[in-house]
Amino acid sequence: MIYERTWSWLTAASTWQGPQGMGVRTGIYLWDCLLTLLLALAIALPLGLWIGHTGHLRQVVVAFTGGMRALPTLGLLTALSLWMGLGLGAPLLALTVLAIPPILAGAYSGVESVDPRIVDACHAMGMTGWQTFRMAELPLAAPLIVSGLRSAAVQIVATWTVAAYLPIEGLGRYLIDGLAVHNYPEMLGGSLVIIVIELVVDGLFALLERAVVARGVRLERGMAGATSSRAQ
Amino acid sequence: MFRKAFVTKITYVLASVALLTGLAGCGSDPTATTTGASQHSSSAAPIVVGSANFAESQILGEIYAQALKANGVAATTKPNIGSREVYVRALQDGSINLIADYSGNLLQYFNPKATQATSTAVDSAVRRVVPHDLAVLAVSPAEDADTIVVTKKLAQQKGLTSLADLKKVSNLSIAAPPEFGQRAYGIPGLKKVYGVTVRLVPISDEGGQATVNAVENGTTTMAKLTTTSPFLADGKLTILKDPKHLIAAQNVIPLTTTKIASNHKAVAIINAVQKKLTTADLIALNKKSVDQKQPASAIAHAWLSSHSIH
Repeated sequence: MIYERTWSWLTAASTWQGPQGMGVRTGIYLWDCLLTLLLALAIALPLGLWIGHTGHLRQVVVAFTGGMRALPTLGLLTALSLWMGLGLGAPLLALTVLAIPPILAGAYSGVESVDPRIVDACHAMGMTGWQTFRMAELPLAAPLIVSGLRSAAVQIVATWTVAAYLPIEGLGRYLIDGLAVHNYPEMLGGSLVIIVIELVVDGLFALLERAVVARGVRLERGMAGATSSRAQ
Repeated sequence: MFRKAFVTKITYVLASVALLTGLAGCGSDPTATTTGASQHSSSAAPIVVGSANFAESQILGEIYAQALKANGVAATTKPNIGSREVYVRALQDGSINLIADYSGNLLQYFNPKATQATSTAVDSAVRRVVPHDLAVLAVSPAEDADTIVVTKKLAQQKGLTSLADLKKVSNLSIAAPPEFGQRAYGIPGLKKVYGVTVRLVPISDEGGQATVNAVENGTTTMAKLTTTSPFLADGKLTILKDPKHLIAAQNVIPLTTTKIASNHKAVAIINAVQKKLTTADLIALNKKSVDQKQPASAIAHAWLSSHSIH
């Protein structure tokens, strides 16, 4: 019953058209998500890489970002909206806070996971700190960095819906407005669109994660795979 | 190796899809209507007073229960049951026997097409629509209705006293929960009854600080609050009158089972409470709960003492 009504809601032209249609709302939603990801990236990536490379401030930042993960996003959004008003600022900041910890963790753990013998070898060859970072640590850390980004992106796409608590357009409207009038087909329909976006975003980052594996690592893995398959 | 990874991934996707459909399938369909079987508890059992998931309902529940106990009728409370959908079913299956409700919303619940708006009209209409196993007791003058407010400053500037005066203001907007956009008393009603087009600025804090900020800092022309809102206490906001009765009355009305309704002693006690309760009392009770964080039982006890029901 509800599935049929959801289907007819999703396939109705009126659902997709107009300034409050699914098309416009999806566009706004993706744009807001992208903005949040870029903002979180700009803050967390340099900080995470620096911590991973130098080991400075590690304890403080790990504890602090761990604490940040525990902040309820809706509570933070409510508090920020009282301070910043009803604009895009409050949800953007609340969601950035949500997205920073995974990116940061991916960055510093990525750099830290680089075999210290490789770093030693770089130093022994006379490479500077910057050269070591750029030519060895960063490429080797790339898959973990992307995996942090992937986790942040998935969380952002899932959580931006809470912004509809305030008068903000986007896909969250279907959930919040639908709930307010018990319109379950609209809620389920809106959720399905978000789920599809989630799967696409997750899939794209999965491909990126595979693509950024350093050439040397890939060759080594290929050889290991070849050896093991010969052994079998 | 690639093939194996691919198969694993396909398995994951299938598992997630199965989980999703499983989740959607299990549990009760919230849109389905179930009819609760009515059970009759023995007459010696105490009256169980339930309450909805907000403070005012819990305080009213405590007031009923304590008044019954003070006058020799055994009673217990079962607070914070949930929304109307849940507690009406609880009344029908016998897990609670009495709960404070609001006349207009109760009428709309049993008859979504009802158009009655004044206190008396709503009261007589609600008595006709309650199911055969349920009953309502005496309605109270105390009311917790939706109400539309503007800042006192705007009201004075433009000479606004009622919703009919809104025609004098251009570019109208209202800070209200999302459902206000579709409800008969909301945006469509303002258009139909008062002939004004209003833009909804949806805020889901149920008339909380963000809603009040929006109207006070001029982001919106109006805000939707309730008549018992603690934000009405400081006089910065003016309630717009509703001469054409767009917004239905919401007087406090006890919803119970026919069995309890035939218990004359209990009914007399509850009706005495109903008679003494006022809207100003509700504001004061809510303020004690919000500002001073007093427990519902203590707030109820103080009200009963001051009205010499104890």
